[in-house]
Amino acid sequence: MPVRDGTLRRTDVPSEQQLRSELHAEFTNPKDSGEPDIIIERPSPGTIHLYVIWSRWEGLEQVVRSRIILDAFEESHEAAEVVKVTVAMGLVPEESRRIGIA
Amino acid sequence: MGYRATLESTPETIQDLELSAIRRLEEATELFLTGRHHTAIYVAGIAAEMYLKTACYFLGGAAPGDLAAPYFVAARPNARKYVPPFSADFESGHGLWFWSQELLARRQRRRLRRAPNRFLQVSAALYVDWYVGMRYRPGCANVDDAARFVTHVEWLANNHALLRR
Repeated sequence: MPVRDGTLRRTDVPSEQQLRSELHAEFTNPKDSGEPDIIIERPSPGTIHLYVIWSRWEGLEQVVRSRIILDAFEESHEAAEVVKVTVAMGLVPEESRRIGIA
Repeated sequence: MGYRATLESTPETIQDLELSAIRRLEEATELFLTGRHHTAIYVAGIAAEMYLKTACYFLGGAAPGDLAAPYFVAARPNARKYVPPFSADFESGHGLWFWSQELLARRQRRRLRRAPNRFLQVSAALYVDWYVGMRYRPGCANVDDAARFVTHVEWLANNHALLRR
């Protein structure tokens, strides 16, 4: 019988706290270029859509990415703005191209 | 990988519905402008369904990245409510009358201010013009039917923030 190495191949996933801090920094003091690329849309009065295109989301589920984005936004914006957010989507660049957010 | 498998590789979230509602309404408007009136109504109705659902889910405490399925399951027991003045309209979870009445009930339970009168007119009008089974009909809608319906759904889109809090 063949012997297979069952060692898990682990992806180096950054901690939530680390990503939240970096994103908070980007919300408060955005860089001129590079990632994370933050897109803020206001599709209708009282509604905010946030898209964060970032390679570092790789390996994290959408629910976690969304929570990190909301938390970072909450740390840097007033509560009245936070309740307007109905989309907080974290996408790696390939995902953003696939669904037409760029 | 097939397209279905691509879509189903990630679970459906509430923000997926929100974004889809916007896109379907844009597509419905394009269909309307190119004279596909029946399909414009059908697609705009799908957008309306998602606008109503997401408003209900946000009123239920949902966050954008939450999975949609548990919120849908929680609303399903109310399927037999909200009958008058129209016949039961759950339509396997697509019914616009059901979701508009569910939204009003949720706002009432949370003691939020009354929904605008226009919402009552819009939700009744949506019910009169749309049902999910219309996709199986070849269609005979005229330009006025489609214009009226798409305008109502645009109202929902523009007032989504007002309805969900």
